[in-house]
Amino acid sequence: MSRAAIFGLGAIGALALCLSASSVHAQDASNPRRQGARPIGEWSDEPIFVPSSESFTVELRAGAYRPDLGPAFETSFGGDLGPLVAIELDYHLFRIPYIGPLQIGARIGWVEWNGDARTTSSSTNVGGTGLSLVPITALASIRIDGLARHLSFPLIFTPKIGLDFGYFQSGTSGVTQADGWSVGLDWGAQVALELDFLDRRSARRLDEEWGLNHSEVFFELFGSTMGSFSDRQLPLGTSLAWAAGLGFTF
Amino acid sequence: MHDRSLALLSPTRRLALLLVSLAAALVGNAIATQRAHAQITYTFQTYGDRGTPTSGATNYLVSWPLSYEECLDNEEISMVITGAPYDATGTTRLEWDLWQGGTGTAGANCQTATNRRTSGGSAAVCVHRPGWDGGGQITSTMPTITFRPQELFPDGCEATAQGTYVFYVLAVSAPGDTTTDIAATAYFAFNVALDFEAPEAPELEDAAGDRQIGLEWTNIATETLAGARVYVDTAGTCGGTTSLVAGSAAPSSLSPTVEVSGSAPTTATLDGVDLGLEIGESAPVAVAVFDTARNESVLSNVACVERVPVEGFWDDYCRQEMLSTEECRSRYSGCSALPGMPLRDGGLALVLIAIAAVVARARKQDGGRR
Repeated sequence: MSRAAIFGLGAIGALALCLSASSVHAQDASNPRRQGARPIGEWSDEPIFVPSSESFTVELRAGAYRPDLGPAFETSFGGDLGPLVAIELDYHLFRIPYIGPLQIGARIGWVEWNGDARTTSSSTNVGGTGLSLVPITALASIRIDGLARHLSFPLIFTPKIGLDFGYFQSGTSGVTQADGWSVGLDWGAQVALELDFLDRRSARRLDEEWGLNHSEVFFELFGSTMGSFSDRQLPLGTSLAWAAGLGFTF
Repeated sequence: MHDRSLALLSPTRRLALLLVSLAAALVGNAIATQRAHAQITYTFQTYGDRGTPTSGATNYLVSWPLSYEECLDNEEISMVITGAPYDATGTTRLEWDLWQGGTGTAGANCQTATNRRTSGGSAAVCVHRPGWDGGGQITSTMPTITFRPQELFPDGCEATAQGTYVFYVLAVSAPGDTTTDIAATAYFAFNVALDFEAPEAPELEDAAGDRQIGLEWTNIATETLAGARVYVDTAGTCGGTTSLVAGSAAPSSLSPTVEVSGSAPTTATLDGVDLGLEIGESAPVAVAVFDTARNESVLSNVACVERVPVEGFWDDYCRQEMLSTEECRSRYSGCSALPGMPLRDGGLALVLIAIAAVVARARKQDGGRR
């Protein structure tokens, strides 16, 4: 994995820690019970918590992606895996009882692979060659959060299927040689660890103050058939790729 | 004890003593304040195409010496003075005076009267520079004073003048005064260097490419450089006629195609299209480096730059698919998602449908609540 991928994952992790830490700090500072000051005449330990409604899930993703372009890709880019960074927004259509919400959503990402250009005279330092891809995906998924909601087991499973639209550009030595679109099916299988169990009070406060019902870290395996339906489209799909990141339900 | 002695004084005397003490304190404070603000400092103004100097940058014209051309051009060196010891009442007439010194005795400077001699001799640590027409009477706390290079250096712009010089600017009651030590707050020193030596020419290699042709050379010069200039003679031919001559100055008819900066430049990038070269055409090229004094070396060896096809991923992929690059481009560029509908419009339609679905559901939920 390239340094950019490691940086992306690190940034997402840092964001999660910051959110968690700031929320816990705010809780400690404002909670009189933790400071030993129990209000006189209080008759209820906890006010009844009414969570806000859940309508959306947003994911910040980074991962490795390598299209199935054959030996030409290997020749130019070697082991370059991207990274692919993306953002996904899912809308909760309705909740299936004891299972979880059925979602539709969209994802947009960006990935670029780079290598050195070459001349027939074996001259060096003649610029670079690159391929960039902007995948746009329309998705349908089921967010199976029944375990977390009803059994307090903080794992969420989300199978996804969708339609990929990928815009690519390829160039060498500062000149764009080709660009175009490829279409295909997209699938994904995600497992997420809901972070509410780390500090439920903080999680509730996030909901009360920001409307964030849940936050989670996730890992997803996915694939795409982009370009494989037509011999006039560049086969930018991949049999298997992965992404990890941070998700928020609100 | 102290209180008892005060008690012996009459009230009038006590009041007088108090007023005298207050006055003494105020005067003392004023003097201290004046001293605190009287330290003289200066800042060079930007000279030539050098960067902006920082405040009090004594070595501004040592890090970036004056070149032979700049010495001949004799353009003003300007500096702004702060904390100049002027007398607002005009009762004490102060003027600027310029001395060149620091060569006779280690640590000596022209502040001390015994170091200043208007005539030569073994005791002449500091030399008066009468060629400089000083700023006259100092009438401002932030005056600008200027010098011209040929007023500063004893040998003018002769090769023997090369070196680093320290100059002392004194605020004096009479120019050329050799009788009075100057207060530390009434003088300052600055350095100027002359460098007429051009660096040695580098050794250049042939290069080829298309839109990014990477030139590389090896620097022979051991001194710190400031950049390099690449000259391409597109009217010449490699190995044939060209206006570029190795070991000679760059021809005045050619402007640098590329100029790079840096203390040890070794690469530059040319664009074969911008040079007007077709694929397979070549042109003579040479490079000259220049130092911090803007002295440019003679030209390097004359190498050859050639525009050749460059290959990358797309060429590899097309070859893998057994297609020409053009066939490949026309096959994979601008596909359609639906018959008769460009993919861009199809994607937009899908996004609009999704937005409409979300809005419709939101409206339905609002209606249900009502």
